[in-house]
Parts: sequence; structure tokens; C-alpha cells
Amino acid sequence: MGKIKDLNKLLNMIVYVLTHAIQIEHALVYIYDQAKKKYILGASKRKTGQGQFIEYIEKESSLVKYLLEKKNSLIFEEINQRSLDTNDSILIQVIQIIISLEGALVVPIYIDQDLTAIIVMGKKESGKSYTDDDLAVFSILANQTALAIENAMFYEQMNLTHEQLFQAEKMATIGTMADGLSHQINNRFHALGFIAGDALDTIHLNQKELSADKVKEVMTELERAFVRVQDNVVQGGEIVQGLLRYTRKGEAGFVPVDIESVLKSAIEMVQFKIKINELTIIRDYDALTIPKIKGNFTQLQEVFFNLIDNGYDAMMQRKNEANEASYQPTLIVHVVKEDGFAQIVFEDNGMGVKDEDLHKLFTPFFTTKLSSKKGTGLGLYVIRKIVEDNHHGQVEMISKYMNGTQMKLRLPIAIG
Amino acid sequence: MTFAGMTMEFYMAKLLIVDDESDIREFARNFFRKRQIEVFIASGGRQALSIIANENPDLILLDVRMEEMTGIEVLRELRKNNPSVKVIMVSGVEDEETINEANALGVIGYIHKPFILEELEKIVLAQLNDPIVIRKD
Repeated sequence: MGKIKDLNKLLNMIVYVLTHAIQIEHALVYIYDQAKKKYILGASKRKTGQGQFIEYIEKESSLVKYLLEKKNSLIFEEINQRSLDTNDSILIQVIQIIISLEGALVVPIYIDQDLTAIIVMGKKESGKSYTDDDLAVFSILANQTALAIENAMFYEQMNLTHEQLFQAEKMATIGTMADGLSHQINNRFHALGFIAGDALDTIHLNQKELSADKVKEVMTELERAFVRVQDNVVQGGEIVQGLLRYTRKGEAGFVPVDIESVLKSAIEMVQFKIKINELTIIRDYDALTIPKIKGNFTQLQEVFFNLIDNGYDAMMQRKNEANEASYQPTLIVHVVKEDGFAQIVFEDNGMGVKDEDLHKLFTPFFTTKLSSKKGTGLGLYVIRKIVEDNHHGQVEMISKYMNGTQMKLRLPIAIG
Repeated sequence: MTFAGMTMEFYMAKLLIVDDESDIREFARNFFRKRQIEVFIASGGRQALSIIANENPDLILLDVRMEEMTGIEVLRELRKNNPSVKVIMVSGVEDEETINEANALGVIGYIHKPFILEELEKIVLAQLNDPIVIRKD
């Protein structure tokens, strides 16, 4: 039941199971809608009988209040009896609501302290009453249902296509790169200002008298200045281009992609987030002979970016915590051709990952990063989605605590 | 040079520019050299400290964000042996912590990038002595 991501499917499955497996006349699920502040009918199944069901239950209704108070399932017959005995006005209101729902049993579904859903079950087809044993079973079912609903609601709330998820992750990363990027761009402007200022100064100082020799000298200086201005403009443009390449949504197209280009591009972006010169990157391959992979440049750039970034964090953690005098943070990128695949391995000598954390790493939002630049925790989740779902490749992680980590990617080679 | 019993010495003020950007070093040096100032340049902390030890500059323009050693690290090292040499920090977007640390170590002030040479000129000339010192024998 926990595997159903579609909330609607889940709710319909619940009512189907209840009416068929447990043989009751009908089953309804009301699920709380945050926006409307009501319990809206999410799914219903009628086995016996006719007619429409009530569309919603008010949050302020006596039934909801009573459920919140009792925190237990309600058997209609029992409450009916009690209301007749005590003549309690609240109970009478509760009874009326249950009657309008045609309910014989009402089961509250809690997620933590919140009443997330209400299951209303009709009479048993056998005509028999609900027993305490029944309630015990339903209580377990209710817990399971709660988890399943929570799961489904999570995915529903996420409601993101893969592409949106990748973009969200990228945007978050750009936030952490803003510091490095703005520094770089600021420096270009600063340099331009100095170059132009000095050139202007030369012109001003020489305005009064200009011998032929002096003209030549001044011209040479000015020429030098403008060459440097143009170079700074080009550099500034490259920074912007790099950023645009990174932020661009991946076009659907899958084309032959050059691994070295992706790596270069990823390193270019990563330097805005991290101090790239604290890290040694070694390429264990010949850029000219490695095969091209069939893929999407932007998505692969995202994968490489995240892997380098993760490696960096692991190595910095080791550098800061382990107190090894001769520690040199090193990232080696291996590329080998294996059958129709390119095997790309990002090997770092960082902290490594503890065995107990290994399997959790690919789940969304899980992060062991302690640094303030934590990121979204979506990195590995996004990597797996891109490599396995989109590129039909494989991701494997091998790690030894306090030794290092190998992230292995298997990506199909482009044919032709 | 002696004239009417007075010795005139040409003392050129010494300016040290510490910045890891080569264009900054080149064009700032061009600019101040035209003003009879002896300009030394350093691309990093270690080079800067060596020049300071040998040349005793009158004013140091010290970039805060550099790769090898940060401006604050250079300042800290410098202040160990030289509590009084004049330093102006040149910064991009700096946080309060850096500013406080700099003030604690002793700086004349802060200038924020980007700024133009004209502005820098006013600040530098205000801090440096006249190039000619007249001494009565």
C-alpha cells in the first residue's frame, strides 16, 4: 500500500478493499483539504444501495470535534444507544451526521496529531454489528492507511516533474554560488575601471604638449589599455555564459556528448561555489580517445557538478576534522570503455560514508553535510534520476569511512 | 643636491599594491608612477610580506580576498613585526567579521570595489608624504 504515489488511486483502493474484502455495503474516505478547511470526499464505493454521498464534512462539525476528543473509532449503534440514554445534545448532533453519511462505523486516520482523514463504513452485508475485534483490526489498518496517505500526499505536494525538480535543485545551488559569482564579476568591473582610469589619466596629463615621440608613447599605452579592456569584457562574458549554460533547462534532445566538455563545464561552475584551488583534480583518461556518451549536456553537467561538489565537501570535512598533516584533497576522474558503456568514476579521498548511512543517501532531502552550505539534499537523488531514468545508465557508490568514496557512473556510448 | 646651504632630498613615497588581479597591479602601478611614487606590486601574501620587510613601504593597499593568503592573514602576519605601517584594505563584499578583525589589527580604512582610480588617488595622496623633503643643514 505504501508504494502507491497517486493519492487518488490510493483512496480508491482503500474503499474498494473495504467493500470487497470486508463485505460491507459502502465505504467512504474523507480527506482534509488545507485550502478549503474541510474534509472532502476523496473516494467512495457503494456495493449495495443507491444514491450520492455527502461531498464534505465541516472541520467545525460535531462529528469531527467528537472524533478529535475520543481519538477512537465510533460504532454507530453504540453511540446511538448512548445518546438515547443520556439525551446529550452533542451526541445527538454527532448521530445525525453519521446517519447522513449512512455510516455504521467511523474510523479516524491520524498523521502525528492531525486528523488527516475519516473513513466511513456502511453496515456489514451480513447485517451483523461491528465488534471490538473488528475495531482492533481497523485500528491497525488505520495506522497503515495513515502512512500510505502521508506518502501519497508527500508525492502529491511535491507534484513536480523531474525537470522541475532538477531546476529547483539548480536554483538552490546557484544561491550558494552567488558569492563566488558576484566576486568574479565584480572583479571584472573593478579591472575595467582601473584600466580605463589609467588610460584617461594618460590622455589628460599629455593634453597640453604632444611631441611626435610622446604621441607614439601615449598611443602605445592606450592600445595596451584597450586590449586589456576587451580581455576583461571577454572574461566577464564567459562567466555569464557559464552561468547561463548551467541554468538552462535541459532540452529534450539526447545527442552525442563529449565527456571532457561536460567535466570542464562542471568544474567551471563549481569554482563559484567552492575554492577550487584547495582541490587537486586528476584526469585518468585521454580526452582524445574516450568515447562520446549519448545524453543531455545540461543534465550530465548537473550530475558531474553534484559529484564534484559532494567530493569536495567530503574532503574538506576530512581536512578540517582529521588533523592529518600531509593530507592532500584529491579527486580523480577515471573513464574507461566497457562494452557499449562509458564507465566514469569520481574518486575522492574524503571522509567516506558510514555503512549505516549508505543506503539512505539516495533518498530525497537526506544529507550528511555539516557545512553551512548544505544545499537541498537532493543531489544524489537527482543524480540517480538523471543517470538511471533519463540516460538508462547506472549509478553505484562505494565508500569506506575515513578513506574515500567512489561514485561510479555507467552511461551508454553514442553510436555513430 | 645642495643649494644655498640646504640639502634637498628627493624622497619618493613608497606604495605597495597587493592584489591577485594582474590588471589591477599593472594599471594602478602605471597611474601612481606618473605621480612620482615608487610602486611595488605583489600578487599574494608571501610576496607582499617579503617586499614589506625589504622596502618598508609608506602605504599598503591590501586586497582582502586572495587565493593564497587572505588579506586578513597577511595583515595579521604583518602586525607581528610592524604595528604601525599604514594599511588600507580593498574589499569586494565583505562581512562584518572581516571588518572587525581588520579594525582590531589596525587599518587606516576600507575601500569597496569597484571604485575608480580618481577616488583612490585622493585617498593615497592624502596618506603619503610630499616627495621632496627639505632639510636645513
